[in-house]
Amino acid sequence: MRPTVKPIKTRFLLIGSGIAAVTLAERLLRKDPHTEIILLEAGKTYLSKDRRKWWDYVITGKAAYAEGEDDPDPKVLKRDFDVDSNAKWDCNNNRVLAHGGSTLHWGGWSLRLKPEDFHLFENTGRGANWPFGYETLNAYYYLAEHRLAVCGDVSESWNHFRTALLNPDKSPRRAAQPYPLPPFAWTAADGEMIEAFRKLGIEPGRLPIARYRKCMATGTCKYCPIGARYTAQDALDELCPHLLSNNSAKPAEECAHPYPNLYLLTESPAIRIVMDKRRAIGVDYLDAQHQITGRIEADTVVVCAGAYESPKLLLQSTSDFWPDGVGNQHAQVGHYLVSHSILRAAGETLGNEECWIQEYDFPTLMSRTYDTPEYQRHGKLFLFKNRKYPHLSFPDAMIGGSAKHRIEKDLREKRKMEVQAFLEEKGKYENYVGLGTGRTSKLLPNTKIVFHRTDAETADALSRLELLKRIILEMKYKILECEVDRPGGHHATGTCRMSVLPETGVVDADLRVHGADNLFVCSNAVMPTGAAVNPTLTLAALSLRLGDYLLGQPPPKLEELNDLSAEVPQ
Amino acid sequence: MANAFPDDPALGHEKPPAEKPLSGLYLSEPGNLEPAELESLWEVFLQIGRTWSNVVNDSAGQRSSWLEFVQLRCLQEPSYLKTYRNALSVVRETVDQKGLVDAYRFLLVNPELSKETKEAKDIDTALKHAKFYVINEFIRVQIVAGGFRGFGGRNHAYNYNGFLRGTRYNRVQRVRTYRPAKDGRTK
Ligand SMILES: Cc1cc2nc3c(=O)[nH]c(=O)nc-3n(C[C@H](O)[C@H](O)[C@H](O)COP(=O)(O)OP(=O)(O)OC[C@H]3O[C@@H](n4cnc5c(N)ncnc54)[C@H](O)[C@@H]3O)c2cc1C
Ligand code: SF4
Repeated sequence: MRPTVKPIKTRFLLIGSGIAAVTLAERLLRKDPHTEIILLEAGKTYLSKDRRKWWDYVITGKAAYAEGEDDPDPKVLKRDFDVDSNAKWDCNNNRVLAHGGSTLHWGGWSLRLKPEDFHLFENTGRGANWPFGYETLNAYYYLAEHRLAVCGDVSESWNHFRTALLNPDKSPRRAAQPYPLPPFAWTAADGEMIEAFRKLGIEPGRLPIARYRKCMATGTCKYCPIGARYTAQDALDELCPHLLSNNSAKPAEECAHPYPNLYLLTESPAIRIVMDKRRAIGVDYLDAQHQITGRIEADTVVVCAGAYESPKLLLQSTSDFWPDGVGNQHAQVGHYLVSHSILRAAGETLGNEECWIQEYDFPTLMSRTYDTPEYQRHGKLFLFKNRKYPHLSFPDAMIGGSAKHRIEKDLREKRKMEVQAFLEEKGKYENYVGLGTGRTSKLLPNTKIVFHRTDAETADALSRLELLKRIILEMKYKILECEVDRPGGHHATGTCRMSVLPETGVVDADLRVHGADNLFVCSNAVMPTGAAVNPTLTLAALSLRLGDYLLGQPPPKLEELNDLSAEVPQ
Repeated sequence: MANAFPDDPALGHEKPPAEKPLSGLYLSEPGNLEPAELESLWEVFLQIGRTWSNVVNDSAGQRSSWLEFVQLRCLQEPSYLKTYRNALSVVRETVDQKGLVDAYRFLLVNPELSKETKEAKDIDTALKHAKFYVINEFIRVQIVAGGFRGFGGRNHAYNYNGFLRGTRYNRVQRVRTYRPAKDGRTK
């Protein structure tokens, strides 16, 4: 690589263009549309809402941005990820490296953590506490739900304001916090499981899901033809950044650029944070297209590069002052990798006279009954019905040459259902993300992953599986499969965790890297615990909060937030 | 093989028909089919509905989706123009040899041919190419454009992955929803 283009200067440099970076940028621009921000993105632009690409996805199952995912070829995956795991850590399909990041392929499930999740260590002696409690995020959760246009149900006991009033520790919501949109209804195929839940004392709930525009229920959410599912790419494109470099066919100049100092630089992985002792001066990056290195100088640098790349970038940024990487003076960077164990129990019954098939491609039934403080010690569970079942693929049957009567017979013959759960895990120092040797085809350093489960954790997971089996048996289905699935980085947290003391984490409660003045991390990586639910709503809340902090704005008061429905995109 | 991640909104159950389905296309510059070619291709699509009797009005309700699909496939890279022309000549030859009814039976409901055209790497003749890249794709289009409703009789599904329901938000019932019956059974 040749050096180098002229350094560019900005006030805020955000590394990454996923939901963390985009939500933060939106918050920073809210106060002053002229705020100078550059988003530096390693990946390319893959067009969203493109009809041809949508049809390609419908026909082939391959989404337009598949190239931005880690190469699934086992040989390449093995080269890019050096994994040491007794639980067979799965690196496939963990993230998207692209303009818009991993929300290009996320499901949009948007759940708040619960109050006890912020006190995991206090309650169990394992894992870690957050440096603040639920209350600190409460108003930001509300804002985030509106930003992502979450369809949810406040009548569920864990959401209901009565629970909040009578037992504030048990509810993740407070009075006057309706969801911006009503929930999706349970499907007919959910019915048997709902009834089994009830018989077992499990409260059925409706999955809160981010649906940003009018959703037409196509169920091809991995590539939404109309941008109904929130993606950070669409959200960023609406801010209309100047494109410094891209491979996109989108005509940047058609934009009116309402935020004149907002820039996006794609295909340019940051390779080093340049530090002058405690102060971040800027970032060096590779410009893959032009085969040069560049530097961007900034007053404030925020690493929003995901739970794998954020710690890796800190580790790459060594100097005399930071010989082991920025923020790594206590060997904390990359440690405490937390995943979700995924449990599943599937069953089958003879007969399907109702001809049920799953009609949405996202689940509608879930429960947080086991997501409570009592379950924290051995791992809380977030239950949901597998959205795939019951199912028969009509095109596959037709393509296989089956005649109509045969397909009808198969449809009515039997049905399969599956209940799944995320099991909360606790961070352990030994579980780690770091630098591997060599670089990937996307010019990022290879990744080292160490992830082991103890015998006690495996035993906990297996005992929790019994809860799932009971549901299938209550439905009077024959158990087909029952397993604890491989862990992976889809919901990875903990790798730059927040802590009060620099000895036990990487960033402080304001997300500033311990020991640095103007360097921050905004990613799932900062979450000390992963709890039992998907992380991204919490990440959006943290990003909004960081935006306020960086601008010196006081946090919003919930009671002062007016009805935000006007802000829900329609 | 690991299962798909639960909140991965992949078309969970619609497994990709092949690893690299677009790799074996006959290369051509993007362009339009002649109107007569388009109508002959539509005839192929019609035969899907006629064979499986899963649509009403002789596929009229599927025409606009199909047309969009074919046009995008011709006009944008990688272009299917040559692939469609190949399919037209395969169909023409097969009809000449076998007659209309047997030709479509041979092309559509023929487990042998299906077995030989499972993946892109199996495609080594013009016939298999037409089956894999054109007929099979048309079947998928037909199902997501409403053909799914033809299965299940009066219990048919309201929605299917890929079907654009065309209503706004959650107010109109887009799927069969859970309604507990008085006797405790789900309706
Ligand atoms: C299949 C799947 C389904 C999911 N579904 C859900 C769900 O339903 N609900 C939920 O809450 N969560 C879900 N998640 C998790 C969710 O996708 C993530 O929590 C979220 O996208 C993380 O956002 P982020 O901005 O921190 O990171 P990302 O979106 O991953 O963005 C980070 C960006 O940084 C860029 N980058 C990395 N390194 C560098 C570098 N050195 N220089 C420049 N740029 C860099 C990357 O290219 C990337 O674009 C899912 C994840 C997966 C894998
Ligand atoms: S179901 Fe809704 S969000 Fe998903 S692809 Fe269809 S329109 Fe988009």
